[in-house]
Amino acid sequence: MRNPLRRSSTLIAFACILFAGCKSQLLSDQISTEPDPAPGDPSVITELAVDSQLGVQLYLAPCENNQCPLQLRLSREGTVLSSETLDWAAPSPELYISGWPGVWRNEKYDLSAYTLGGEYLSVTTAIELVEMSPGEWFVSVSQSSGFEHVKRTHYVYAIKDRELVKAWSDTEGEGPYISDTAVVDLPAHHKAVLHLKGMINPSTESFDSPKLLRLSAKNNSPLLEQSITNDIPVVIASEHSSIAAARSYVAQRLACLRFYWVVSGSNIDTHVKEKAAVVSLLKRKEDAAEEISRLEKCAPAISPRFSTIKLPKE
Amino acid sequence: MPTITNSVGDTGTNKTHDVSLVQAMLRVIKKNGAAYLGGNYDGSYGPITKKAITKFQNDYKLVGPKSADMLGKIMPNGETMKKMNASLPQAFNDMRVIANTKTVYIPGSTADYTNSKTSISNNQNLDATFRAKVVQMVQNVYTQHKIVLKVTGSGGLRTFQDQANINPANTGAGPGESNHNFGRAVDIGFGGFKWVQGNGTIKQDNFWLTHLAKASNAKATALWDARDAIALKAPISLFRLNFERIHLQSFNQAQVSSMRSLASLLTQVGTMTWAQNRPWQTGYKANLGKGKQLFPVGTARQIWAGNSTVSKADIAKSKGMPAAKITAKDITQMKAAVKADFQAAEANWKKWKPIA
Repeated sequence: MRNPLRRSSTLIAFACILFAGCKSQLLSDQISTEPDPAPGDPSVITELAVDSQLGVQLYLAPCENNQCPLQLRLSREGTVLSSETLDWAAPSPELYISGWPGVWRNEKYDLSAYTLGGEYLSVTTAIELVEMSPGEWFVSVSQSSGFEHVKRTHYVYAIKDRELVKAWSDTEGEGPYISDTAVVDLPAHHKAVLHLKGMINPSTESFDSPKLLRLSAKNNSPLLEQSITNDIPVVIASEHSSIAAARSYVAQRLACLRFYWVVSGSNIDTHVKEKAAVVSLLKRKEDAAEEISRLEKCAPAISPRFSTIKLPKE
Repeated sequence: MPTITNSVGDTGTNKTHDVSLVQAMLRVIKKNGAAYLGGNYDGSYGPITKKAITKFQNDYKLVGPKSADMLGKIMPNGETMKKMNASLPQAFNDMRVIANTKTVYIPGSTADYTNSKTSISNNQNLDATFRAKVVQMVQNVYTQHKIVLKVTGSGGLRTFQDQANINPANTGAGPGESNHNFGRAVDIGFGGFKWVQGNGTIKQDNFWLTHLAKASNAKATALWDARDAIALKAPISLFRLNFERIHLQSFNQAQVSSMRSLASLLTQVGTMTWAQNRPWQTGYKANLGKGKQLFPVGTARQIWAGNSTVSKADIAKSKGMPAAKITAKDITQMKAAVKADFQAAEANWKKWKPIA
């Protein structure tokens, strides 16, 4: 359940609510150009409820010199308890709402994203509340920006003693990286944030280099336990005798294989004989059936299958 | 031959770059299999560096009445520096460092530099004025720093199909929306750059300095800054974007809309009148060949893939006909006509002009 307390902004110039599972080509079909009539603080872009009184807001601070700071605010019944300014400011208050275009986007993961500004200067932000362990609340924040070259940055804030405390962050570096975060369930009502990051290497000599980090709560601490995950469930789309062949295969089916990686076949547990494999890294093995079904519909000639991969250590 | 600009050691000037270079030299010069500097070189002068300098000077009896050097202190043209140079393993003979940075590196070869420069000079697919500036930048960076800058495989002119083939997770620019589609941008980086790791081994990096950034993001940033100190300033005066430093282009993006620039070109060379749709994420609108009214036709990616979102109702309006008379064939033909304007834009890419 997301945005139970969402108070939509009246600063909206154009609004489109898209569920994250919508295909990108449906974007323009579902646009509503009606201004959002909801009342409230025009600078509160969205608000998520921790409980009946406590909420976390994505807030647009007043613009100066074409810079509109985006803030994460912890508020109780309208009083701001704590505020953190996100690294990437918006260039203008023009807002567009869509689904977060992440690696793990699917119909069951309907994370709204708020885009401010246009083209090169646009900044898209998504926020999500996470109860990592019972009563221990965190906020996962992702931002993307850029047009010619898109970059993403991710943060996790702890809600601790009426304060927002930055517990972790990561920003894509130079190069064709992609990254995403996702919340997954753990036993005993615990949750973790997964962070997937890697370079989609354009080289025909080097494999892609995805890494998966698991962030989970430390007892009664705003800090997070960080662990590299090595055994990862994957869907294998194809295998190839060379990296070049694998890259060509992906490029020709980009609409269906947008978030697939070219990895070494020898890192995959079973049934990969060739040098290179084209795989999708899953949040959890239970997602395999859904991804296989999606891929079969998207590219009927592909026969995807489930396996696991051991990512090489640094 | 490695040189320092100021003294290094006790009471020395200890500039970061000089200390880095001396440390790196003492990291790779060995006696009986052991390096003089045991730890990683880091550009900071301290007791470990002092001990390494002193041991080297004592081993070769470099300090005396006729020496400019003192025990624990190296002068730029002193005996210690000369002996260190003479003791370097061959692979490190020419290593160097840029002022105020900490990354010691191996100079790029003249042949590699000439190849890169010639390749850009001969690339008629780059705008002529822009190309001359890029060549000048490559030349100046090599002259000043002996670093060879190279354009990536997809970093020059891209066809609209090339642009469509790039993962949308890495670019929001669809076919015709990238400055690479019009010869006004290059992705130019450090491909093949060899730098000395903290432990004295040589690492060959990629265009984006990914390995150096993993070791130290600040060190990688310092090298991009060194490139841009030449590239962004007069007389070269190229421009970078907010993100992805490998990208340089001929104009200031803050004053230009790529989508409006494309719409202008489409109108100029195509059969329809075009404009950017609002919100911008929805792509473009066009008059579908007749009249002043513009109708949504989809994003550049959609149009290029033959999947324009043009509707039956809008085709009917543009033709002044009832929607019932518009056939599936009419829709297919309109999608093809919309794409044909994009194809005309690609064929006439040299007519593209930046529009605010």
